[in-house]
Amino acid sequence: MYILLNWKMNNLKLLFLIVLVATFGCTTNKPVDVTQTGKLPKIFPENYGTTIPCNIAPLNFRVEEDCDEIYVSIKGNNSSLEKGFKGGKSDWPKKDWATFLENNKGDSITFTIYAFENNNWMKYKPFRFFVSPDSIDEYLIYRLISPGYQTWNKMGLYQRQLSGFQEKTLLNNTIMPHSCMNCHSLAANNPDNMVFHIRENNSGTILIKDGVVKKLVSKKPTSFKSVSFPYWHPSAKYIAFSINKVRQVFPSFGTERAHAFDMESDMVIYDVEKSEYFTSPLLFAEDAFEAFPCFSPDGKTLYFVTAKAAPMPEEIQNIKYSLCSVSFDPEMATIGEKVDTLISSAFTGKSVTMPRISPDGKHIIVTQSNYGNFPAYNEEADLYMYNLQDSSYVLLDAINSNQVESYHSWSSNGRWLVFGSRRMDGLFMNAYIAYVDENGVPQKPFLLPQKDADFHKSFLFSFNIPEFAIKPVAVSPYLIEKVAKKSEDGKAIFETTH
Amino acid sequence: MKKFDLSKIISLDTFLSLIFGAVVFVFFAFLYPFHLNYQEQYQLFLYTSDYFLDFFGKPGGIANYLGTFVTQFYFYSKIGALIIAFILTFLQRVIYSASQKLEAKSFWIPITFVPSLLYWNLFCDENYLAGGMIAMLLLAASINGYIRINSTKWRIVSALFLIPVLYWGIGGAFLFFTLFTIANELIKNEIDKKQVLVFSAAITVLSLILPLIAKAIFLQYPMGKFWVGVNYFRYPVNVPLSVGIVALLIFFIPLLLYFFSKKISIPKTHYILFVQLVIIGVGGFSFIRNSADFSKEEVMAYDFHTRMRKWDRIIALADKSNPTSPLSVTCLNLALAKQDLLSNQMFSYYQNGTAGLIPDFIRDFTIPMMAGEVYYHLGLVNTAQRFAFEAMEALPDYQKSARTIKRLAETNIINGDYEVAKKYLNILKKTLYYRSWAKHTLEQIKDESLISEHIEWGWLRKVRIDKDFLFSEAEKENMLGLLFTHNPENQMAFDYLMAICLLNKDLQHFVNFYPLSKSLDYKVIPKTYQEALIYIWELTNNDPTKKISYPVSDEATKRLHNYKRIYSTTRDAKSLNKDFGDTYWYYLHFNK
Repeated sequence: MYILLNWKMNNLKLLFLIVLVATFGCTTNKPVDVTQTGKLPKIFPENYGTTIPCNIAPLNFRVEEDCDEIYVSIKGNNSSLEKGFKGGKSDWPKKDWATFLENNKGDSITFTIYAFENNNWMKYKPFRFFVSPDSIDEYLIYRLISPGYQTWNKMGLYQRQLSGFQEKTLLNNTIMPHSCMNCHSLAANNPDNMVFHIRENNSGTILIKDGVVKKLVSKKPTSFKSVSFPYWHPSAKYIAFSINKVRQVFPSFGTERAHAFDMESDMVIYDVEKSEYFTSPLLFAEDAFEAFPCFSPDGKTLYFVTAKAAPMPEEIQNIKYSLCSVSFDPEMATIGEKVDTLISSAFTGKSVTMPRISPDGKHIIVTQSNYGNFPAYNEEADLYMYNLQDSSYVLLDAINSNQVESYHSWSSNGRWLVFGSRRMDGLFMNAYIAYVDENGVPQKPFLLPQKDADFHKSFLFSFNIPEFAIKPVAVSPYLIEKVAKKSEDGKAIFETTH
Repeated sequence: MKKFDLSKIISLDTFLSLIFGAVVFVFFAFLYPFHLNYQEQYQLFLYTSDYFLDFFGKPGGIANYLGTFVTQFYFYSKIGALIIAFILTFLQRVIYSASQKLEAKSFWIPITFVPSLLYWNLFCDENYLAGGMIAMLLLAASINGYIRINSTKWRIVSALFLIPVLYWGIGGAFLFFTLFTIANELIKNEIDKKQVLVFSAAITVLSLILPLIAKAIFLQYPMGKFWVGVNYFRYPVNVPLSVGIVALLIFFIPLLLYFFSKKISIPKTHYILFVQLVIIGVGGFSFIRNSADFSKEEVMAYDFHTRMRKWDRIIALADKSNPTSPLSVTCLNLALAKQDLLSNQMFSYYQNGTAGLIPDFIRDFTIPMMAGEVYYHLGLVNTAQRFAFEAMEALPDYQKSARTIKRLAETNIINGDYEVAKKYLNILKKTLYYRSWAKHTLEQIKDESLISEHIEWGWLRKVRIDKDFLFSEAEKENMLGLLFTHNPENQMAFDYLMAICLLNKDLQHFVNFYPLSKSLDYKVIPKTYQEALIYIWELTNNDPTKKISYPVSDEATKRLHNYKRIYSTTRDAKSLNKDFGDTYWYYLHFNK
C-alpha cells in the first residue's frame, strides 16, 4: 500500500515540473533552413558511442553550445524519435523513449542535434549509441552522502528505478536522526536478502532475510563489536564480513583530501540460520589485514584482499593489498586450509581492493591504486579485470578516467557493471554504467541518467556503493527503524567508513 | 491655542502596536543584530523549484519555506529586524482583530501582545527558527479569517477545507485551529447542539487522521515529525513546549477576551488598561532582558566581522570591552594578526591560552566555522575547507550554509579544483545575496591569472604546500613551522607559531623557533617577542657581563626589572596588572 501511495506522491511532486515543462519546455517544428557545423556538439553528459540497455531511462543531455533551443532527431532502423526542447536540454517522454528503445534493440541509433544559435539553426554532426538487447536490472540501490570528510547531516539509502527516474527512500536519517547507514549488500542482486550497517545512533547490522527484518545477533560471544563490508554467499545461508577498525586522516597540506585506512582488519563468516560467526586463522591472522570478502557464484571459493599488517598511519603509503582466495565448503561450513594468491602486490607493486566477481564466475574486477584498500581519494585508482580462466590481469581502459574509479558491482545477468567515479569534478562520486560483453570486454560507460540534465550542476551528494537489484526492496523504512531502535544488540563503535 | 489630540490621528490600539513594533525593531537592529546574521549564515535559500518542492512535499513545509525565505534577509540585520518587527506586530494585530470580531472590549488590548512578546523571547535564542513564527502568524490569520465568515454553512465548509490546508502549511499547530472552530461554534450558538457535536466529531476525526495519511504517503519522517511539522527549533529532535504555549495563547486569547467582555463588567476601564500596560510593559522588559544573551551576541559580533573581514571593527570592539570568551579572543587574535599587530599587542588584551588562538575541532556547527577562518587566513587551505564542510554538515536541521558554501568555493578555487568550485558557485547563483559574487567569480575562474593575482586567493595559493602533511591538533606547531619555512613571507604563520609557544608558556620551543624570524628582517623586534626573549635571557644567563644577542630595547629591559622587583616582593596580580597587564610576563605568571 505505502509503495503505491509513495509512487503516487512522487508523481504528484513531479506534476508541477511536468506542467512547467509541458507549458514552456517544448517546441514542435523541425528546423528547415539549417547551417551545417561539421562538428560534434558539446553535450553533457558526453555519452557519444556508448552501449545502453534496451530498458534504460531517457538519456537526457544538455547541449553546451550557446543556444536557446534544440531539436533532436534520433533514428534507428525500425523507428525514429524527434522532438524540440527549449533551453538547450532534452527531456524525453519516458513512454516514447521506452518504445523507441524497444523497437531498436540490438541496433545502433543515430542522434542528430540542431541548435538554435544567434537566430540560426545549426546542425551538428550525428553521433551513435548502440541499444543492447541485454536488459539491465530494474533497480539501483545506493547511498547518498555529502562527500569530503567525517560529518554528515543528511544521508540515506535510496532505490532508483533504472527504466525511469523514480527514487524511493529505503532509510535516511530524517527517519533515524544521527544514524549513519552504509555498506548495503544484496544476495545475488535480490533485495529479499539484504544486509547493511547502522552506525552511531541505534548502531548494528540490519539483516533482511526473505523479507523479515532483524538486527544481526550472535548466539556465541564474539571478540569484536561490529562487522562491515558484507558479501552474501549465493545460497543466502552465509554472509562474509570484514571486521575493521577504519580511521581517516586529513592532510593539512597537499593535494589529497583524506586517507582512510585499516588499523586492524580480519574476516568472519556469519551463518544466517545458526546465527553464529565462524572464521579461520587464515582469515583472522594477527600479522595480516584481511578485508573485502567476495564469494564465487558456485559458493565454493571466498576471495578477499590481504596485506601484511603494519603500523598505521605511519605506513599508510607502503601498505599494499593482494587478491587471494580460499576454498569454502557450504555444506559443512568450513573454510579451506590453503590461501592462493591471484594478484600479488609484490609482483604489481600496487594495491588491490573490492574484488567483485561476475555472475558467470569468469572475471573479477578490482580497484587498483598505489596503496591501501580505501582508494576514495587516490586519483590513480582504476578498475582492473582479472580473468579466472587464463589468469590475465588487464586495465579496463574503456571505463577508467584520470580520476578515482572505485566501488563497482555487476548486474544479475553479468552484462552491466555499475561503478563509482569522481571523474566529473574530482570530488563528487557519481554512478556510471558500462556494458561488458561475454568475453569480459567493457564498453564506454554512461552516467546514471537523470530527468534534468543540469541535475549534477548543483547536486551536493555522492552516489555511494551502487548495487543493482532485480526488484524493489519490499520492507518499509519504518519497520527497519522499529527493529533498529528496539534491539539492544549492536553497540558498535563509530567507524568513519564513509 | 488648540489642544493636540493624538486620538484623532491614530487610535490607541494602532499607536500601541506601532510602539511595540518600533521597540522590537530597535532591539533586533541595534541591540541584537548579530543574532540575525548568525541565523542567516546557517541556511541557504535557493530560488529554484526543487528547493520549493523539497519544502512543499512535507507537512509544515510552507511555513518552513517562508521562514527560510525571510531569514535570507537577515544578511542585513536592519532588514531582518524590520521583518521580525513587522511579523510580531502583525501577529498581535491579527489576534486583536480576532478578539474584536468576537466583540471583546478594546481595553483588553495589552493581552493581545502576549503571544508576540513570547515569540520575541524565543527569538533571543539563536536556535529558534523563523518558520515557527510564520506558522504562528498563519494560525492566527486563519482563526481571524474563519470568524469573519458570517454564513454558518460557509464557515463549516471553510473549516473542512482549511484544516487539511493548514496542516500542510503549518504542521501540527493546525490542531489549535480545529479547537478554535469547535469553540467558536459553541459560542455562536447558531446551530443546535447536535449539529455542533457532529461538526466537532467530523473535524476532530479529520484532524487526527491527517498526520496518519501524511505518514502513509511520505516516508521521510518518524511519526512525531508528522505531528509537529514545522522546524521551530534548529534541533529537530527537540519539540519546544514554549511554542506550543504560544499556539495555545493564539487560540485562547480571543476566546478569553470574549469571555471577559461578556461576563465581567468593569466600570473603570482606563484603570484596567493602565494596569495591563504596566504589567505587560514591565514584565515584558524584564522577560526579554532575561532571555537576551548578550555574551553570545558579543561572540556573534566577533564572528560576523571575521566573516566580513572587518578586522578594524573587531579591534575596536575589543578596545571598547576586552573579550573573554575563547571564540571572541580567537577572532580578535586573527584580526590582530591580519593587521600585523599580534606580535605587538596580543597581551594588551585578555588571552585564554591556545583555545583562544586556534580552537580544537569538535563536531559542531559553530567552533569549526570560526577555527576554519583562522586556518584559511593562515594558508592551511585544506584544513579550512574541512572545517567549513564539517561545520555545515553538523547543522542538525539538515540545512546547508551559505557562508560555508562560499568558503568551499573559495578553498576549491585556491586549490585549483575549479570544477568543484563551479558546483558551489552554481548553487550560490541561485541565491539573492550571493548571486552577483558567484557570477563574478564564475567569470574570474575562467582566467587563471585573475586567480593567481587575486589579493587573497593568490596569496593563499602562494603559501600553500603541495606535499602531504597530515593534520593533527597536537602538531599545530609543526604545521605552522612547515608553513612558514615553506614560505618565509608568511609572517602570520610565524606569529601564530610564536603565539602558540607563548600561550602554552613553552619558552623552550619559543627560543628554538624564534631564529626562524631571520627572514622577516625585523627592524625592531615586536614587543611581545622582546619581552619573552629578555625574560628567557635573564632566566638562563648566569654571566652578568654577557649581553643578550637580540636587539632588545632598554625600555623593555627596564620594564622587566621593575616587574621582577614588584613580583618578587608582592606577587600581587592586581597591582602588577595596572602597569604590566599588557606584558607577556604578566600572562606567564598569572594566567591560569
